[in-house]
Amino acid sequence: MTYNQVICYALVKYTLLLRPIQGVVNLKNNLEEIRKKRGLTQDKLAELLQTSRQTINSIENEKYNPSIILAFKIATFFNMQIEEIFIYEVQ
Amino acid sequence: MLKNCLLSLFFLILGIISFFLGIKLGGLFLGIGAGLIASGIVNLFAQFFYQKHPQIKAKKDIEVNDERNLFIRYKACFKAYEISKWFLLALAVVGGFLDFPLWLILSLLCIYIYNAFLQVYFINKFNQEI
Repeated sequence: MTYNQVICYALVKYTLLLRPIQGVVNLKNNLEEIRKKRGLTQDKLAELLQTSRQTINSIENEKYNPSIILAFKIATFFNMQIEEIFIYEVQ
Repeated sequence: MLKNCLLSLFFLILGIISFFLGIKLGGLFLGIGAGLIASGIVNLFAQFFYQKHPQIKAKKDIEVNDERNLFIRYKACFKAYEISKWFLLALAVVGGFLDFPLWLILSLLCIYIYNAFLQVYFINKFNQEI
């Protein structure tokens, strides 16, 4: 392997490593609105759902898709259907 | 809680024994003893602290088992593994140019190949399980 080949391999590998995961679509949701309607803080909701405040914040900001279990927990807590909270848009 | 306390105490006692053995025999036992004593004391203090403040313990448990934190931890582990794997291979190649001993280069490559085999093994395992 020549030096040039090593450098090329390093560059390709480096780009692949830093590449964001393709095909991940974050769900839209009304969680913030529903939470505020109920007069709950992120901290309180997290405590009631046995999860962290950062998770609630990330879901609200559509940075993280909750697992189906957590989605059900949230829907059950607010006594709503999952589809009323999380909106899936076909790409 | 009691189980954790007993485990910490066991490691602390093991550490003290190892430390005193190390004074007579030297070297390795001394190091292991010192490490076990330190971790035993820290764990014991942590257990007593959590016993006094159960709300902090509950919060910590939620943080540890939180699904987003688990996801981040797994992703970080994967990234660290990918980067380390690449550096391992790069080190073997650079070692070849810099006349590293052959056993060292072969060891590095063996670890790389071992990692690749482990990866295939776990892919198959999880394919069957999930």
